[in-house]
Amino acid sequence: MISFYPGCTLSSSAKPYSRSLYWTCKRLGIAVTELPDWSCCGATSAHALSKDLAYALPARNLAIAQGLQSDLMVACSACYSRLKITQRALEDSAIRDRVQRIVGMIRESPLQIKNVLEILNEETHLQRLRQERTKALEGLKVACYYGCLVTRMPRVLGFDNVENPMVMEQLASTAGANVVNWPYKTACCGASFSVINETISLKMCAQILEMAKRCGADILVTSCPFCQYNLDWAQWKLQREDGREPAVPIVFITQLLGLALGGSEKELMLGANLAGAGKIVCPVGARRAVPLHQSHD
Amino acid sequence: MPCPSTNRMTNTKQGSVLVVGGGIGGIQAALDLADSGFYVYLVEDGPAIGGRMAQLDKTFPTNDCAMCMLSPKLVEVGRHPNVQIITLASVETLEGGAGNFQVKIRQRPRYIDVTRCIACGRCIASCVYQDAKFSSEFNVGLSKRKPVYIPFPQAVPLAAVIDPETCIFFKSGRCPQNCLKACERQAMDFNQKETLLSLNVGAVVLAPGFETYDARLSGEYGFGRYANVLTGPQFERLLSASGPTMGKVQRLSDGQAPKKIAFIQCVGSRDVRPGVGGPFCSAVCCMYATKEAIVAKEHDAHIEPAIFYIDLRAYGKGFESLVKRAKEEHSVRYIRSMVSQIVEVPETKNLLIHYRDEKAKMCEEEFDLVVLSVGLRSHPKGRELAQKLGIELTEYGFAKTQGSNPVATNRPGVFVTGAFAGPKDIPETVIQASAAAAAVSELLAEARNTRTHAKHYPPELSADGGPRIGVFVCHCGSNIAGVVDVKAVAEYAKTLPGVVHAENVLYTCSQDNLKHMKELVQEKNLNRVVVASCTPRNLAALFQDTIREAGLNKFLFEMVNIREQCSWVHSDQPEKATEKAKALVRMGVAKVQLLQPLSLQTVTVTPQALVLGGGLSGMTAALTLAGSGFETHLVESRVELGHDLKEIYHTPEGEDVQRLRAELMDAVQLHPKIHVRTSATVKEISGFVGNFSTVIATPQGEERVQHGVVIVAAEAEEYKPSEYLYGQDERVLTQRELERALSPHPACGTPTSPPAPLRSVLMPPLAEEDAASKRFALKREGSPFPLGKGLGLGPGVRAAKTIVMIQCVGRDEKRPYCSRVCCGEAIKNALTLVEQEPGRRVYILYRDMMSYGFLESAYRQAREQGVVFIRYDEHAPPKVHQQDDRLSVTVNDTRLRQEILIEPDLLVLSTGVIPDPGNEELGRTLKVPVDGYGFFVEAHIKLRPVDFASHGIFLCGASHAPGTISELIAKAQAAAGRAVMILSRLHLEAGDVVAVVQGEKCTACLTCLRECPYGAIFINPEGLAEVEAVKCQGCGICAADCPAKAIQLRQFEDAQELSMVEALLGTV
Repeated sequence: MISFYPGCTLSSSAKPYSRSLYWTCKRLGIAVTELPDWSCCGATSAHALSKDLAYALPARNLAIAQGLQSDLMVACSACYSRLKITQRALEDSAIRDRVQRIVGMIRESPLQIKNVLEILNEETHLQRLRQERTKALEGLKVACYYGCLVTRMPRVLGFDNVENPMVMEQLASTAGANVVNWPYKTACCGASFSVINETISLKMCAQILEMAKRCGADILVTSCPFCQYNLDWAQWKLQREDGREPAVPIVFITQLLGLALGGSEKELMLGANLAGAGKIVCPVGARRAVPLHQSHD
Repeated sequence: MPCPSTNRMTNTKQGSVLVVGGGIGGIQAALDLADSGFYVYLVEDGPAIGGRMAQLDKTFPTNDCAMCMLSPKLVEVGRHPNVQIITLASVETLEGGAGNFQVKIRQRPRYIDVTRCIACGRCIASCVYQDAKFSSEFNVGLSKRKPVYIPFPQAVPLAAVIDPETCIFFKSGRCPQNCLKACERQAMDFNQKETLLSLNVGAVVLAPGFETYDARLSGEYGFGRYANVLTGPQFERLLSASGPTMGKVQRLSDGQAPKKIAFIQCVGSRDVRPGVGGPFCSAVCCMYATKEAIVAKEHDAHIEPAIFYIDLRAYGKGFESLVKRAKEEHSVRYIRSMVSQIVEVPETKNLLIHYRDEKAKMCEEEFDLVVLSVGLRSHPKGRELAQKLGIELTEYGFAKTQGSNPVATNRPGVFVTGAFAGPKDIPETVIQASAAAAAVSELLAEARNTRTHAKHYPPELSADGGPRIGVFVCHCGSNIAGVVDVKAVAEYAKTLPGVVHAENVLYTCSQDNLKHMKELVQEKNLNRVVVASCTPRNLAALFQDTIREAGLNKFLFEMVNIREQCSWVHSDQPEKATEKAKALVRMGVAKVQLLQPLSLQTVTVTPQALVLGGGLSGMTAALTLAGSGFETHLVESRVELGHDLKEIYHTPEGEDVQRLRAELMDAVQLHPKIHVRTSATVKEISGFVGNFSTVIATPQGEERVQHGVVIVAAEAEEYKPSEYLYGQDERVLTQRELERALSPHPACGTPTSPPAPLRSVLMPPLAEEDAASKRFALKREGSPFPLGKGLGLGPGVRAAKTIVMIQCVGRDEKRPYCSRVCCGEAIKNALTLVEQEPGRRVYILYRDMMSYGFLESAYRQAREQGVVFIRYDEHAPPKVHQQDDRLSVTVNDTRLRQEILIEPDLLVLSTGVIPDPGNEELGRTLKVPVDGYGFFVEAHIKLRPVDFASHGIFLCGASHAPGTISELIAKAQAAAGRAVMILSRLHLEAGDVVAVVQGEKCTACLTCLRECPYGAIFINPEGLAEVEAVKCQGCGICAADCPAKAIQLRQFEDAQELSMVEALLGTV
């Protein structure tokens, strides 16, 4: 039993993420309950305004989870980052005292904050995935895109290598897809600039999308709702502006796993993605599956 | 702490030593100890000794071949009668205390009998794995090996080894064991078991080395993901002729020759990220990258190397000039920029590097190959060893040592050397190894020669009565016999003049054949022997020893290589190979006929030492020598000892230098075996190793002393500058003067009341600024600081609020070398200044911060405490003006690209060190070389750093090369240790393969006298050249250059060499 903190994006723009996550977790036997009475973590804005606010918002959610004595699963990269950084910051007694005055509900009990990738990658779940896999993804070339937030937290030890994480590759490969080796897996897509300076954001997205294409990717898989939204939108926009062909569908990792487990387009909300994710075609027979360790030799 | 042992021998000091680690540090310590009268157990974790140095292609700063230097040492230690090498072994427990330890060693099975294996490679060829498929440790993963393999061609012991982790037999039990059948020597033994050895030793030297940083942890550089990103050690193998590409530089992705190569420095070093790098500087990478860049260019002139770096740390002897050569002669680009990411171009596998250049421009450049200069880390096995033995480690996992005792650990009797105690290069490692050997030699002085073996030989037989030659032609299993018709060669040998016996033998080097050879010498009355087998490098000494045991002079021997030179290179032409083997044997027989027995001259050693220089180094060396039991004469030209330490108060690590000085001076003066002469100079010195005679002049008169060795321990001085108003304005001082003023020293007076608060403000751009260089000023408000005449240095310094330090003052074309210690001194004094009064502003203007090794932490600490570091370009040094009683410093900050004006209360100059001006004259008196800057020149910068080329004369002190107190102490101990190797012998044997002058041909033209690098030639009373046999090293330069052909090098005489040519070609 694990508490799930969806955060604001998974209950709005990234609905397909939460839908496919619940569906996939259920199929893999991971019992997930939404954290009761959760509130916004402050994400990209709070820490730009006030340090105390930036710690207080996640601290409230941490306290709820601690009260339930369950670990906390987080899917959104920004939420994960804020919650982890706050947990670390609260080790400082001065910060803890200030936050305590604001939130009034800090608890001392230990709590593990886990990214959804970290949980899915546990050996029992990988085994289950291997067994329950029904749809052939063999030959589907997948570029795993982590974005800049999920592994890059200063002074906090994350769940994978900062610059070369491999968790998603492991998952995609177990699901039967072929992963491509590409250099931009932790590059920034400029999501936080998409509102205030579209040009910068579009340029950054274009670079990432083009590199994925050059490396031969059929689709791009991510675990970050900001990245998914930003890239998907940028691709749609770029296509409208200069008539470029859509480079690659951009799907959530849970959508990809769901596909492998036989989920329907509707169950996984693939139709909600902008760039033709509903029509992901696996070139069965055309290519063969390449195990992860060989593809990275 | 070691527990007291119940062993009944506890109080007896043991004359044997355990050395752990078979790299260059362990090898040097083992050789020094074995040659000083101790029996050594050299324990190595791997299957062969050699360590990291064996994997290097070249070494900086001379770019000499690493293996060519190391290989003779490997052979020497392998053959040394008083060194026992124990490979595949680790120390389990160490009980007892200094002087008497009980050690338990766990030795893993090799599955191959080293005494039987001849490294022929048949086991490897027959292995069920047809292709090598396991990563080669020696080639750092760039090539593959089989489960049975020979570690590297020059390995000692030179034998195959089986890796049970990959061997099918050990993994599954199902293997036809082809190797077992293929071995002609029955050397394979799959039943070998792990064994536990118990040893009794008097002391321990730990040299387990380091590991290189795992570059995969720095994911931003893509090592392990991008085919064309390599590490420095891998690139070293790519450059090596014995490497995976036999020295051809090529890309791993497509085998193409790369054109543009980028080196990225500080990978895993100076990195504070958790779980990634280490925060310290690895001390060697700047130079190894420079070396690799030059060597790559030498291999392929089309290569364009670029080195990305933060600070270029070329702080050692000869480093500066190597970097200069790299820039000027080899067009190596140095780019001061830290690279944050590498992107692989998917189509070409080229590597894109984004960086900000020194003009603050963002650049994007594509390279064909990237080399990551990975740093040095403590080795997990070293940490494990430390834990088992109770050795204290630092926070980074290196052995903890004291600055004043750099090779001692917290456990008495256990010493360290090399990178186990922190990152360091080969010369520092060798110095520490000799220093550790010296410390052991001191500890176990009374047990010297109690555990060593001396070999006794029968009296020598006469070689007269015409040649009676025996020829032994070796099959080397099928190595030679598979190609060369050895029987025919032996039959042919019988027909040669002077040959009375010839035979072919399965293995000439086997124990049974050696016995047979001895019997034949006696039975057939042989007086000369020729062996036709493999390279003389490994076995010539063994055969010479064998005939000596039979009573023959060992020089009546000749070896012919018909394996490497016949069967191996001409394996497809057996007939011609056989013909060539016959020709080589014919030449050997021709030469051996003319060989004469050579006898060694025995020289008695005067067991006393002369140490020149009574500073830190001289006192340390004298104490080490006296502690090892030898009378020592310490000569100092000044009125008192320890002059060089007078103005140093503490080390960057916080040790009290004045206390160290007082302790050393007391110890030296009280030691009954040390005879101190101050205000004294050397008037005259004569003699040679073992027997020098020196006249020392003192105010009391002249005195002659006899001694066996000389140690030159001249120190260096702080340069007193003429730059920057020094001597004209009393607010301008040197670092040493600042240190004295900052120290709680009674002579400096008491601090005055603090002046009015000062504040730095940013001034708006000045009116006269030009567009290119903006200028802003850090300026005081309020009245000028009252540091006028008559206030005295101490109070003025203590009241100063704004302090500027300028590094590299006086480091110009005439004196381009880095003085190594000034950056550390500046950081140390800056920290003292801000710690004494946190409101102080300290600015350090520098070119490259040379905070190598753990000094990097002090550098970081200084920045954290607010010390401001401003980099200036060496071609645009800061300017200093005196205006209306104010000092002003302007400096062009290379990062801001702006001129900055600072008005300091104090200006401190880091002026570097200059060697003692008396060095030139001393050099002439001793006939030892001094370089262009006035520093003494050692015999070999890498492997003989404290020896002079002339035997019996050693060097240490800052006049050899500048160094920290800890480095100078190690060097002084090392020099003393090397000297003890001579003093601990009763006799020296010399003069076998030496040059000899035929007086009647000599015209006394002096060519030889000028050419001899060892000063071995003198003009005798008859006015003719003569060779001092004890000094002669047998190099042959004089013999080759003598215009009158009056000089012959024994064993290589003209007649002997020409006889070989004649035998080959007929009379010419």
